[in-house]
Formats: sequence, C-alpha cells, structure tokens
Amino acid sequence: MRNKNFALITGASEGFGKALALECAARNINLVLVALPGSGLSSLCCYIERNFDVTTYCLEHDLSKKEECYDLFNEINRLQIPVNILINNAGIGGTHYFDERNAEFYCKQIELNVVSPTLLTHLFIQNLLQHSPAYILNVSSLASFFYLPKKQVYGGTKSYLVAFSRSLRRELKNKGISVSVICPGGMNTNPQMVFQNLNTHGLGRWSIMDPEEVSKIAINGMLKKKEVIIPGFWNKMFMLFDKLLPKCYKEMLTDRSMKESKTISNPVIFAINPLRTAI
Amino acid sequence: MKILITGATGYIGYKLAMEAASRNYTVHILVRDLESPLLPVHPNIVKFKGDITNKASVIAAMINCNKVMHAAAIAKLSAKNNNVFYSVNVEGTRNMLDAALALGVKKFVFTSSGAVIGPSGKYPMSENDPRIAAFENDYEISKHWAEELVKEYCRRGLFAIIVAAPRVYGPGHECNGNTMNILLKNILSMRLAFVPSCDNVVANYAFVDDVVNGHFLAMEKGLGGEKYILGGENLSYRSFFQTIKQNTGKKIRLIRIPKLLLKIWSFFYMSVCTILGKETHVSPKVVDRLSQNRALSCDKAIRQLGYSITPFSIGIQKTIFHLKNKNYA
Repeated sequence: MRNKNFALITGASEGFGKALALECAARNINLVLVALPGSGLSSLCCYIERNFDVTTYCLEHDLSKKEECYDLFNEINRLQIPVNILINNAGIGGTHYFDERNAEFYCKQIELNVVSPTLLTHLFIQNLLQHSPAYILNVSSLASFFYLPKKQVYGGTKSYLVAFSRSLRRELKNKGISVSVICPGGMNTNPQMVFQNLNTHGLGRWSIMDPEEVSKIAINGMLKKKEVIIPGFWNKMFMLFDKLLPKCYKEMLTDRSMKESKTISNPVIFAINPLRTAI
Repeated sequence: MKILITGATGYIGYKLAMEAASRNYTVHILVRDLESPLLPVHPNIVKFKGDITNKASVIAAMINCNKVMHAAAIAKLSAKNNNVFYSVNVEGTRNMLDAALALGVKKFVFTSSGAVIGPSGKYPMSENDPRIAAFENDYEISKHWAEELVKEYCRRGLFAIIVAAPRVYGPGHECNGNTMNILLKNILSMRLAFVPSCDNVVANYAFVDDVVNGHFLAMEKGLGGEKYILGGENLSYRSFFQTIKQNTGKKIRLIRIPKLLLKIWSFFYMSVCTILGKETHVSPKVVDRLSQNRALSCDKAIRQLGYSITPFSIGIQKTIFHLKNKNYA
C-alpha cells in the first residue's frame, strides 16, 4: 500500500537536505521539499518523481523570513498535506572569526538556524499530532558540543537545537511525536565543502563523511526514536576524547586545526581564485 | 573561417583539430610544446606556443578566431599536486572565457565530462538531473566549477555551449584521457581480462568519432548556455567485456574478481605507489566508483543536435582494428 503521509524537509535542494530527500524517497516516504527560490529544487523533484514511487511537492520559500514560514504552513494546510515527519535541515554554516562578518549575517544565521525551526515546529505540531506516530528531526552539528573558534554563532545556534530537541522530546514523548537531533561532523555537502575537505589533513580528514551515508543513519535513527544521533566512528570518538582529554590539551589541538580552517567562497560567483583563498 | 582549439595534443582535442582542418577551417592550436610528437599535422593547422594558464598566450592564439573549442584539461583522477586541477581546469577556462568575451568570439564550445553528472539512479541521467551523490575528487569539482564559469559567461553575453563526454573509446592517442584504449591494449596483449564481480553495473561508453562529430553539431545547432551529453551506449560490464571478447577474434579469458579483493589490492597498490612516490589512479575509492551505475541519456543531443550513436560492437571493431594495426595484438 502506498504511504499516505509526508515528510517535510527544509533546505532540500543541496547537500545534506538533498541526501535526506533521496533517502526518504528510497524508503517510499512522500515528500514536501522546501528550499530557496532558484536553488534547483524543481529538477530534484522531477528526478525523485521519475525514479521513486512517491509523491513530491516542491515549495520555494526563504525560511529566514518569518512570514515565509507562515506562508509555507498555510500552503501545506491549503493543500491538506498530512505531514508526519518534520525535518528541520535548512541552515547557514560558515567558519570565520566573529569580526570577519557583519552583524546582518549573524542575524540571518540566527533567524534561519534558530527561529525558523522553532516556528515551524510550533506551527506543524497539530498536523504531526493528527498523524502520529510522528517524528521531528532537527539537524544540529558536532560543533554544538565543542566550543570552537570561528564557530561562535553557528555553534551557538546548533547548541540551541540540541537543547530544544532534547527538552521538547520529553514533553512530546507520550503524545506520539518522537523528537531526535542529529549532530554530523564534516560532510561533503557541496563542491566547496568537498574541495575544503580534500585539503584537510589528519584526524579531521578521516571523520569526513558523504551526505548519502549520514542521511541513512539519520533516517534510521529518527525512525528508531533515538534522542541524539552522532553519525560515524570518528565523530563518536571525538565525543569520547572530549570527555577524556584535559581542557588545555583539547584547546591546543582544536586551535591549530581551526586556524587553518576557512570557508571558501564559490569561485564562480565571487570570481575569486579558489587557490588564493584556500591555500 | 578561423577556429581556436585547445588541448590539441590530447585524445579528443587532436581529433577535433584534424576534423576542423578537414572541414576547411583555419585551425589555431594552442600548445605548450611546438615539437610535441602528439601534434596534429595538417596544412590548415597553425601552431601557437602557449598555455591556457597564460592569458597573453591565449589572447595571441584567439585573435581573429570567431569560434573556439576548449578541450584542454587535466583529465585524470588524481595528481601529486591537486592544485593543477584548479589552475588548469578552472582558471585556464576562465582565461579562455575572458579572452573570448573580450575578443567577440561568436561561438564557444566547452568540453566537459560525464564525471560532473556522477552516478545514476533507476534511469539514465540527463542534463537537467541533479547530482545524487557527493563530488568525489578534484577533477570532478574542477570540471563542475568550469561549467559554472561557462554559464556565468553566458549570462555576461558569450554564446557558449557545454558538451559532456563520458568514458570515451576509439582510435587515438594514448594519454591520460584515453583509459579505455589502455584497457583494450592490455586485454589484447595479455589475452585475459579482469572483470569486477559486480558485472551488472551499467556505464556509458562513447565512441570518439561520435564525440568529435557531436562537438561540431553543438557548435552549429547548440543553444547558448545549454549542456549536451555526447555519450554512447549504456552497457553492463558483462556485455562490455563480452562484446570485446567477441570482436577480438582471439581466445580471451574473462576472470571475475570479487569487489572486496579489488579493494584490498587497490589499497596495497596505492600504498606502494605512495611510498615510492609514483603517481597512481588506483585507490579503493576508484573501485567504489567503478561499481556505481553511470548510465547517461543522450536524448537531448539526439533531439536537438541530430547527434547519432555508433553501436558499441561497431565502434569496438574499429578500435580493435586500429590497435591491431599498431601491433598491439
């Protein structure tokens, strides 16, 4: 029998969101995919409809704007789509010192990484309750556990998602909604990240995973109602080291690697030579 | 009519230059070594010394050309210094596009790779399908970025067309871009072939003459900013090796090797090469790559350009004939 319920995935046009969408489609879960306008979402939807036995809606919204979160909610209500899985994946990353970006950037990062998942969870909770067993999966990061330089705001927003998820999980436990949070480490999400990861050395390099692997672990963990999902052997090791090693030693190790780490701009859009920025 | 062709000492570029020369173009070729034994020789071909990473030499070769075919690239999966992928494939392409826009080139054909499209799902992938697996190596990323650059220059007003070739086989130079001929040569001389046990894995194999012809079709009929896959037949390893075996006219033993064994062997081979400081394309990741489906659909090129595909059995006959003439069997 064809599955009637839908999974709503935000930030689905690229990277981990795209991998999550493909993973759900492979498990016959119908999809509502949301991404920024002009991000190539429609070609992904076409691909999924052609290759998998699922129904796919593709909705384009900028979720860093509150009113567009409401628009999304109203649109889904109007279409009467039964949502039983909500995956809050959309987010803005970045690796830079605090003064390297303007305040606007950080406000937008907080809007998208914190406000939007909170708002969407609040809006969709009735829809989810009506279609239980329901699941919420929030996409956090390993950076939420390590207070790394160059990851101040990003790490903070991701820590919020861990706290939010774990707390909400206890509230919704007996109401038929399971809340999980996944904390991936480095991933080959887009060409820039793969480029950056190919130029990473040492421990960091080993822990990098492909989004296809992580999305499998994420959906498995979500359906098994796990609380905090840490994908991959090395990422689990990092969590263990964090507990075992003394603070000064940890800081020495991470300081060194974070100094080299840098976000690379798309060389095409910004017309920057990737070699000059990366090396 | 003048045309600039880059990569003319390479597998596809050489054939493009010879074909253009035979079509009565005055062909400018930009080469690093004017004495290279791989140079195409024809009265219509004019040599320019230079390198796509050197913009002045690009401009010197492009002046008065109203058409450009940019086929030069580092076409391999790994290099000792991975910067070359970006300096040549991305920045070199930027130099070419910059010069073409400045000099008012009418048509620019960029040779890209099926590797940018990546693995396929249930059906063969077409030009508009999204990539369904992460990018794997510097080559793929550099070609992807180069494609993005071409699209960017189209927005700025250049009439450019992207063509993407998958695994190409057929008579031609033995160089990095021509792994298929190296494989065939080995099969012919050793009289045995190692077939991976995942022999139902499908990939696309394009005959080089089709690819060359497709370049000219794209230049004539292609729409600006569009991408066309110039492929061939989609074949499983099983039918790929069976067809080769049938067409050699010799007894060839096909030996199936389990994937795990291949991976272990590739790991050791890679380690030994690394220790000896030798460049190698073999790695466990490459084995994984070879066990993914990579089927492509050329429907768009067939529909819009009138592209045609030579059946694999005929293409392979021609290739084997060519290799036999060169005394490899």
